[in-house]
Amino acid sequence: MTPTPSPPRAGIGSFTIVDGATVTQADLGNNFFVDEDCLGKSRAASVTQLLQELNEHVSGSYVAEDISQVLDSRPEYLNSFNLVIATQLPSKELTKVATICAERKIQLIVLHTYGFMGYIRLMLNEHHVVESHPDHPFPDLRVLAPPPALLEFARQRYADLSILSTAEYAHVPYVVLLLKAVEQWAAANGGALPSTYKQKKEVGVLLEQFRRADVQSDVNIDEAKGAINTTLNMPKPSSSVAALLKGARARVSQLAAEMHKASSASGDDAGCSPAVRKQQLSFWLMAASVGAFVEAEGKGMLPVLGTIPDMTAHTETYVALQNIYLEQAQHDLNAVQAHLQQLVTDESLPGDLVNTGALKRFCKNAHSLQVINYRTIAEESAPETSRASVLSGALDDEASSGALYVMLRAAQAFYAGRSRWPGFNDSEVESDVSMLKQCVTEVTKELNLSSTPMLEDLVSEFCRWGGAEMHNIGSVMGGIASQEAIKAVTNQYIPLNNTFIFNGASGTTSALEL
Amino acid sequence: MTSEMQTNAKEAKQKRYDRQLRLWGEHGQEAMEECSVCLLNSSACGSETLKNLVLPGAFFPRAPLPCVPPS
Repeated sequence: MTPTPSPPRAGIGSFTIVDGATVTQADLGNNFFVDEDCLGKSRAASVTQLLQELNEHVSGSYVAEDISQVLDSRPEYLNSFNLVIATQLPSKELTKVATICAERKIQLIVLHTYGFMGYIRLMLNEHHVVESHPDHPFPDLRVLAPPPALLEFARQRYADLSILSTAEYAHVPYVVLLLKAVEQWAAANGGALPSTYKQKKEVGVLLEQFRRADVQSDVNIDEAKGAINTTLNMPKPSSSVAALLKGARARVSQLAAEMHKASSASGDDAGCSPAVRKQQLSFWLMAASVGAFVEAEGKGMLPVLGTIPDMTAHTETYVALQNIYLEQAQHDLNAVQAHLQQLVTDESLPGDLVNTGALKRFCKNAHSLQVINYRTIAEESAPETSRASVLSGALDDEASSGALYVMLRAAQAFYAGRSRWPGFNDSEVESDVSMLKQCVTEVTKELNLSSTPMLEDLVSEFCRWGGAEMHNIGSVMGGIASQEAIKAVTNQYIPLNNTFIFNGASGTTSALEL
Repeated sequence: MTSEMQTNAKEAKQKRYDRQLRLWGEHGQEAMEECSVCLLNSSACGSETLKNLVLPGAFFPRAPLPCVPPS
């Protein structure tokens, strides 16, 4: 089996600015990365140079042409990028860019600020969140399904708690106390395991009976009681993770078939880039392997996490416990790896799609995996697939996010007909108001909204703003967009899905899935 | 590059990006350094976005692309 070579990609680890504009007075007022010396020069060149000064390790490049010009002469221009950040684009250009990104599965972040309004739209195609970094991670102590080594540990060291000295009794790690209490509860209930809230409370009562008169500070018993709700659970995948794991095997076959087809076809392949497919295959391979593990060795449970929370215990005891979980995690990882090997062989895939470090992280985070399928911008715009109900709900919310969205669409429609933003020329502000109102009516129809929203005030505001960008709104939106870019690129944390609207006049924000 | 130089470079990088490495780990940093991003329009919000990605070293240079000056 030979690995399929991926073609060398130009400019890996770099940024490129595409911008045909020259620096004007307006730019000096809102953009910190141009100065007076830049007036009349290429904006792409000026910003690239000043951005580079911020970090000597970074080198960027620029193309001093508009994206529509670039795409006219080189339609495949965007194909080599992982992430496109499209800012202040008129809808005609945006549609072109979004179509390419959807076809090639390139991540796209659309960013637009218009006066006091900020707008972000993410289109990350099929996005995988491997490490979601939950705020309150659950400990994985397997009290209800103890690994054999843990049972052995409890049997050897804590067969009879009553013979322990006072000091030793106060240092029995709480996981052992929980094991004992659950054991007692099971014995009294015909071998069943506590699962309901009431049953868990009964385990708490048993733990209370563990207190000994000679032990003054039995913090370990408090810890055990406190951990009942988070640890007396079967480490089974949640319904969403289970569904994801279940569908993984079929996705691997599908992607493998696409990969074989692309590598046998001569010339450029029409679908996504080999790098994107490789990334997708890697995710689904790991998911399918974990899924196979859950079905087989795991007996319905996910691989052991391998890390344990802090608990009152002698250092030696704690380290011994740590090792038990660590070894079990390694054991489970090996089993998952074996499944992965089998899958790779079955599907004749290259062997370098998944490295051990990535697989280990995947197993550790298997409980909170997520796949987000982003709606495309084409789906959002087409009347048949647009989400009138979501938008209607947001039309009169506090942040007036729905209204701002309709206004931006109307301003885009205005631009499409006239190649300027409403109110761009001071002398035409008032006459533009009625034309923009017309655009609002059109957009309302296009979006299937049942009634025309009352946007009198916003229409005149949009004309007053005249499509101008403000430095403070740009700064806020740039902050948010870069956070989302990092989430998109690292597959960590949960990115927003899919539209974010900032109302700079009221300082309110909303997220909508449009 | 000798292995000693590689170690030094790695340590320097770790020092430089210490706080963010705690947020997204070395593998997260690697993913960012391997990413190539294209900004369309160096507008105010676009430049701000790129600034926030340049500072944490998202786009470590491997092979910079040639620039295309205005014709």
